[in-house]
Amino acid sequence: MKTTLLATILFTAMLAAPCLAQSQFSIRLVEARQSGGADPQDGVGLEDVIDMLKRHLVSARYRFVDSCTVKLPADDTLTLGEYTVKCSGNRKNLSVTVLRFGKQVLKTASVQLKDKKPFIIGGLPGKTGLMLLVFMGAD
Amino acid sequence: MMKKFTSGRIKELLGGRASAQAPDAVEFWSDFRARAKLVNQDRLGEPVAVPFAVRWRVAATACAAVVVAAGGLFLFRGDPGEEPTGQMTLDVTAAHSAVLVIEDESSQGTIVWIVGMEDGESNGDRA
Repeated sequence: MKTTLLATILFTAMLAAPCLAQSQFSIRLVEARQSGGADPQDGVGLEDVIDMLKRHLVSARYRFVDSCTVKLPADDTLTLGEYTVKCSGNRKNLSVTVLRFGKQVLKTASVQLKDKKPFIIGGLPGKTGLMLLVFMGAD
Repeated sequence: MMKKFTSGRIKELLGGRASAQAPDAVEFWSDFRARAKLVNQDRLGEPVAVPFAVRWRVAATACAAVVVAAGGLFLFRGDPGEEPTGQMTLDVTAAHSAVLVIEDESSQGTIVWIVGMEDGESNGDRA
């Protein structure tokens, strides 16, 4: 009986796992700096996007600052460092509003989040460098 | 080189050996019965009696598994995945110089880079 129950739970979890994984995305706040001393934390937590960033941007260092996960369909207001990010909509039609210190900085709509394909909003002002918001749909 | 035998020759060879080694039927069955008596044959072949409660539990567990799986898939089926409504739009409220959209071929990702926003100097872009 216990074996049957365990098998049932495992089977259910296996069925549900892909669905659960696909119903969310992550947002990471990243600081980009051109100068300053090397930090051992540079690039940590950004392994999946660091090559892309270095290919297109000249900033030497990228430091992970904060992150959060948003379930889809989204209707959330999140705080990442000094930024507030409002997300609404679904994977193929996401609206994102970015505020800094409560003041709207930008708003984007009809964003399509693809699995493991980053969508990055960069050039946002920060205390010591430029900030980036990295959106990544889960596979 | 394979040696070929006719069917008659094969029968002759096998028949001779089989008749030489074939046991006596009476002796064989006598031995078989003696061996069979050593094993308790009473319960062999009887259907295993499963208590009603156990059968009910198994059935209930199976039903519950199906219901849970179906419910889980329904509740957590995730984003219904509406079709995209069109091109992405961007409205930069803060003062800025320009907006660059970079499509990365290898990762198939997109970078939207806002140049010269507010107090930040957008000197991080190469494009």
